[in-house]
This record gives sequence, structure tokens and C-alpha cells, in this order.
Amino acid sequence: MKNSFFTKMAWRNIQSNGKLYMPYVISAVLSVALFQMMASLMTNDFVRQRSVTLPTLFGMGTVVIGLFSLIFIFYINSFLMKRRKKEVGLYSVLGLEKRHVANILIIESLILSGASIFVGILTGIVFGRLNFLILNYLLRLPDAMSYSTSWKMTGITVLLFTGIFTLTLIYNIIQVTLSNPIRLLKGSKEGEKEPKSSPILFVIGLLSLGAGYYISLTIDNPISVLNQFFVAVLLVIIGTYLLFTAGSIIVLKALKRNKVFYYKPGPFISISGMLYRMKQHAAGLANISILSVMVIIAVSTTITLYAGTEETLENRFPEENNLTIRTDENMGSRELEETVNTIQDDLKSLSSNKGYKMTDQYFYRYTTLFGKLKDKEIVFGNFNFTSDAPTMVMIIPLEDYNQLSNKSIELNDHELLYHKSDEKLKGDTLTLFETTYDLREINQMPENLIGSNNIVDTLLLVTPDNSTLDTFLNHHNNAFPQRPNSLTADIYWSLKDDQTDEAYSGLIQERLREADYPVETAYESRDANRAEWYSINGGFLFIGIFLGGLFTIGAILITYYKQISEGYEDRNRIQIMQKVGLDKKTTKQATKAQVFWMFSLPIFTAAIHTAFAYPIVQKLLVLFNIYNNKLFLGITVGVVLIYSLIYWIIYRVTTKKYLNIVE
Amino acid sequence: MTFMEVKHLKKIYTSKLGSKGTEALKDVNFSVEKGEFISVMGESGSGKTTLLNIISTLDNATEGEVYLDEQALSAIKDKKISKFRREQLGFVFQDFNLLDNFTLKDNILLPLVLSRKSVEEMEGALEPLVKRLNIEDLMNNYPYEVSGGQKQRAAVARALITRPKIILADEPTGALDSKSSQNLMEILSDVHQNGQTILMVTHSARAASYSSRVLFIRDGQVYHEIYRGDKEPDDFIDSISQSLLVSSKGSV
Repeated sequence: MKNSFFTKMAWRNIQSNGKLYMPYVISAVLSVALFQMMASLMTNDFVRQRSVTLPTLFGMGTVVIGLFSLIFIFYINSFLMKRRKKEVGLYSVLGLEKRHVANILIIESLILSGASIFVGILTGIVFGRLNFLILNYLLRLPDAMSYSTSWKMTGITVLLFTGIFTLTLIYNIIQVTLSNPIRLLKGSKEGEKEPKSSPILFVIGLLSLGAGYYISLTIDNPISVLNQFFVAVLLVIIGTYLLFTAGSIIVLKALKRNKVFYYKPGPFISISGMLYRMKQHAAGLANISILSVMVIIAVSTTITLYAGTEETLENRFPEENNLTIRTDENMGSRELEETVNTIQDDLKSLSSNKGYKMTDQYFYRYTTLFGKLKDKEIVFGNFNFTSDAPTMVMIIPLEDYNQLSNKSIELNDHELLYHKSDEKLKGDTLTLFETTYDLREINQMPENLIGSNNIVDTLLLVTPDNSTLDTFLNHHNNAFPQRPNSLTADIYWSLKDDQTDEAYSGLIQERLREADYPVETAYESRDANRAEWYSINGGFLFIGIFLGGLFTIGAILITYYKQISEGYEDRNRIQIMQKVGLDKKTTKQATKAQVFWMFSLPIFTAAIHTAFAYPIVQKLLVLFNIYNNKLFLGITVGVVLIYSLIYWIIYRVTTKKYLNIVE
Repeated sequence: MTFMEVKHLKKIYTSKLGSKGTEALKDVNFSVEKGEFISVMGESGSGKTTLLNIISTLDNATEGEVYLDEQALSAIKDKKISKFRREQLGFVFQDFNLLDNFTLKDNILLPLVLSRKSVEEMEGALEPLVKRLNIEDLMNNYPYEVSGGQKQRAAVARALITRPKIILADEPTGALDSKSSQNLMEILSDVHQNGQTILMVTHSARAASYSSRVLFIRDGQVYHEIYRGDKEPDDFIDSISQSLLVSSKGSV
């Protein structure tokens, strides 16, 4: 037989089965588009300039989306084939040989996958650009983002999906060749085995999920967050899959065993229905849950980052102007104070000469050492930072501490003040450099010190006088002459009415260059940093919303497909039950309950995951200088609500489609 | 006592396109006594399935009426029709119509569950029934795990469990091998002996030979009927075959 015959046949099949193929093609097109956009983002210049770690993150994301695509396309293909077995069986009965049938399948698959890939890539290119345009317009960020389609990535997309479609084709051909026509004819009616409950998988799932949650809940060191975050995410994903596949069946079977509950019209129909389809749909539900969490986290963190930019700036720069002074190890604290005073006077006279009025001028001196707490002693030395992080010890003299915190505490020579945010020190004495001091705890870190010390849990020590500070430093430098430490002073001031601007910053910088101070100076203004921070955080926001959009589309896709396919599966069942006396009202109630559970399960799971992810994500935000929990909490709740609303709309629309099919 | 009465039943199928309809039933009249086992025989297209569908309330007649226990079927309101079907009628289908997602037990209990009966009541009704049908060991199996004959027996159990006024069977042996067919007919016959009214539509003279009366239907009309009387099924089958033979000759 000629190929043109098969082509005609394949083409006619596709046309006459439009109702079945449409959702398939739409889903395939969107999968291709999603992957293409994600992959392009990975090589996007805008993303690359944003941060070094982002491309790696996006690489991981791309792999995940690729895997999702593979699973998803296999899932929709198996649904399609199940419905088409009868037709294929008929061909065999009518006398087409298996290789002829295979021919038809190949041509069909060529048309469908070719179209899907082509339209998908087109959609990816157009949609990607459109998205960037719209987001640029909406967010009005200082510098506009550019989107470029990466041709290399587009090539990879084509290759990947050609591979996936080829695999499904091979799978289909094997299925068709292996079974006989009669079985095929009955194919879509063939019963599926009831899923077995597997307590082992269930327990593994619970453990995995628990471990993931545990990491999130117990993490206290923001530095190690990045590594552990991925471990936690992985554990939670595994846990979710296992719980959905194994757990759902165990729960449903338990419900089924409760006779009084089970043998009522509603539960009877919906529980048996859910149990019957769980095997295929558990993965779909898990996918929706995970995608939903990703949307919520990506969007809420990036919105928090952006909305918290001003706060970040205030944490980093407690006053409008900040001058950091670094000495060498030979300068003592008394000498440093004199230098600071000179500089302060200079800046003051300069400012008032030019018509600016300084307010809130103050400074503090400190040094930072790395040590290890051992019971009641601190040992200083060289540490391996990656595996076993040492404690950062910040030491400041009492004089400066009192000024910072507006207090007038007095200490005698053998007393130290301390503060440590995560734990109390054991005992009431502390030994450093072989001298033992009595300890008094400070309840609150002075506000100015919070910003620079929140990432790592710092031990703050306040010495009774300047000389004690100098003594500590000398001891340390004698012990480690190759890595000497020195004193630093931070000078802060603001101007009346927020006058600090570029002109003023320029003035200060010029003076610092010209004056020959015996110390290193580094000047920064909040104002000058503002634009840069907004651009960085705006970029993150942009990426977050873009990703959120992609993942939402993914979730919609799976939901839509699930509803349609379940509708077709349930139609037959419902019709039989109606013949035996199931009325319309009960049908509606039962199917609605079933659909409701299938729908709310993922969103509930997503909400729980989000709640447990909250601590670890919040620590992540600390890395970006966001300490405002209320802001993050509010935004997260808001995002969850808005996402639930979107999800609810999808639910309404697809449920209608489902009920139309069933009735 | 007339238990069910079919009066001047007429059914015309109209397609959306053609203005002229197809007449499936012309003028069907017959009555059923309580406890009768009636077979309706006829060739494909004779209208016997249409007749059964109307009696089953799955379809509406164009004209005429069916009375069951003096209740006019067309007068039952839409909202009540499911309840009526569930409680007064029992169905046995050619392709069983068992649900794959239920065990045989749950398939049989389905009508009772829909009627919100208590668990004790359900199990009380189930046990003797399945023992009688010899499927009590299969209660936790799924339909795809058992043979055709066993499936049909489960379907019969589902039809009987509500103690319906009448069992409506549509080609119940159509998908079964001869041995399972015989087994099923013996069961139906046994059910009939216990006082159950049965109306069966069938092609098979052998299946029909188990009934107490056979109606022959052609071109939408009942044209002949024979009673079994005291005859054994094996003798009755000859009368049925002869009637069929005559009818096919007559139709030429």
C-alpha cells in the first residue's frame, strides 16, 4: 500500500478525533513552550548579570521541567491510546497488517509532534517576548530587561521533545503489536487492577517529608541555608510523590473499610472512583502540588525582596551616610577615636560651609574575630569555614556601646557585656586569652548592629574600656602574626530633611580623597545604593513573576487534562449506575465531592508545604538583608490567597467541562 | 391478577434530519400475571429492545401506556424515576454492566446503597442471595477477575437484591457460552419458581424454553404467543422453534 494512503488515513483520524487530540496538542504545545522559555532564561544575559547562582538554579529548574514534560506527555499519550485502542483493533480486523497500523501511527505522530514542537517553539518565542514586554511595563524597573531567544536552547528543546515523542511512539507501536485485535477492540473497557497499598512506600514518604520539614524548621544558620534548601526541597518532592501514590490509597482503603461510612451513596461512588483512578492520577496531583508550592514561593519571596528594598537599605545603611574607617594593626583605640573626631569635624565644617545641616552624627569602634565557643571559653584560631563555621565575635568598647544604645551602663575591670541571639551562654563567666571575666547579658542588640550581624549569629562582647579592647587585639595578633586583625570604626550621619544627594556624596568623596588621613576610608550613601538595589531586587521580582507564570501554566495544564480524561473515564461508570437507579442529584453530589477532593488536595498540600518552607525561606531572605517577618508573612499569605483564587477559577471552568462530559 | 399491562404501545424514532420517523413499535398489547416468566422473542429490529427500554423507563413511548401494579409508568415524575427504577425494577443486561471499580459485593449492593439502607440490612440481604447463586466466594473479587457466567450471576444478584416487582432481562445469555447460559437459565428458572416475575428479551430458543410463556414480536407487533404449560423445557423448545420457523416463513 502506498504511503499517501496512510497519510490520508492518519490525517482523517486526527480530524475526526479532534475532541481527543485538541487537549493533547494544546498540552504538548504548552510543554514545549514552557521548556523553551525556561531554557532560554538560563542563558539570558539579564539573568546571568543578576547573580552567579541564578543560571545554576535555572539549570536545575530546566531539568525539572524537562522531567515533568516527559512524565506529562507519557501520561496524556497513554490516555489517548487507551481511547483509541478500539479504532486500532478495528483496523486489524479489517485486514490491515500490524506494520500498516504502525505506519499510520508513525505518520500521525509525525504530524502531531511536528506541529506541537513547531507551534510550541513559536509560542515560546512570542510568549517570552510578550511576557518581558508586559512585565517591563508593569513593574517599571529602573533598567528594562531584555529577552533573547537562545537558538542553542531552542535546538535542545527540539531535540528533547523529538526524543520524548519518539519514545511515546515506540511505546504505542509496541502496545499495538503485542496485543491481539479482540483485546484492542475491548481495550478501553478493560478493567484495571485495584492499586495495592504499600505501607513501606508510605512510611518512606512520611520520613522523607518529615526530614524535609525538619531541615526547614531547625535551620538556624543562614550561611548553610543554600545547600540545605535544595536537600529539603528534594526530600519534600520525594515525600509528596510517595504520599500521594501510597498514602492516598491507604487512606481511601481505610475509609472503605469503615462500612457505615462507606456504604452511603456519596462516599460509595466517590471513594471507589478515586481509589480506582489514584494509580494514574496520584502523580498528576503531586505535580500540581509541587508546581503550586514553586509558584507561591517564587512569587512571594521576590515580591518580599522588592517590597523590602527600602528596609534592606535601612538595615544596611542605618543613616543616610556611612563612612567606614579601617586602621592597620598598630593603631590603638584611643588613637582611632582621635582620628575619627578629626574626620567628623572636617565633614561637619565641610557640610555646613556648603549649606547642609548634619543630624544624628555618631560612630562606634569595633573589631571582629573568629573563635570557637567551648563551654566557658573562647578559643581563637584558624578555622575551616565550609564544614564547621566558627562564631563571629564582635568586640566593642563600653563607651561606644552606651552611645549607640543610649544607655549609661558601668562595668568594672573584670566584667563583660554579651549578646548572642540564638542561645544563652552557659554559666556566667567567660575566658578569653587566659583571662576570665564575669558576664552580663544584654537583651537587645543595638539597632545599628543588627543589620551587619544577622546573617551569622554573632557573639557581641562589650569591653569595660578601650585598653581591654586593645589588649584583646594584641593578644590575638601575637598569637596569629600572619593574619593580624585591626580596629574598624563606622561613622554615621544624616542630613536635615534627607538632603543627601549625588552632589553631597561627591563632595564628601572629594574631601576624603584630598585629605591625607592616616587611615583607609570607605564612604557609601543610602541614596546612591537605592537605585542599584531596586534594580537588583526588581530583577528578582521579574524573574519570580515570570517563573510563577510558567509554573501556573504548568499546573493549569495538568489540571485541565486530568479533568477531561477523568470525565471520559467516569462517563461510562455513571451511565451504568444511572441505569441501575442512580438519580441525577446524587450523581452531581458524588461527582462534585470527588472532583472537589481531587482539586483541594493539591492546594492544601501546597499550603502546608509553604507553611513548613516558611522558616527556611525566611532565612534565605536574611541573606538578602530582609528581616521583616511581618512583610514576608503578609505577602506569602496574600500570594497563597491569590493563587488559590486563580486555582479556584480553573477548578470552576474545568469542573463544568467535566460535568458536561459525564452527563 | 394482571400485574403488568402493556397497552397500545407505539414508538416512532425521529432523526433530526429526516422528517419521516422510523416506527419501532406499532401497537403492542399484552399483560403479565404476577409470578409469570415471560420471554419476548423476535429478530433483530423487531422492536423487542425498544419495548424493554420503555418498560424499563429508560425510554418514553410515543403513544400508549405501561402499567405496573396499576401504576402508569409515564406518570412517574422525573425526580422519582430513579428511585422507582431502583426499587421496583431489577435489570440484567447482555454485557453485564458491572462496574470495574467495585468488588462483586459492592456491585450487588449498589442499589441498596443508593436507597440508603443500613449496613446490617444490606449484608442480611446479600448473604442468602449469593449463596443461592453460588458466588459467595467471589465477593471480594473485581469483575475483571471472574468469568462471564460469574459476572452475570453477580448481575442477577444485583437485580434481585432490592426484591423488585419485576426483573427485566435483556439478552442475559447473549455474551455467555452454552454451559454458562444453561446455568444462568436454571438460576432464573429457580428464581421464578420462588415467585419472581421476570420479563426477558432473547434471541435464543433455548433460553426462552425456561420461561412460562413466550411472546413473538415482529415489525413492532406481538403476533403470537405460546404457553409452556406442563412441558419440560426440552419439549417446549420444539414448540418455540416451530413457531419461529412458521413466523420466518410467514414473513417471506
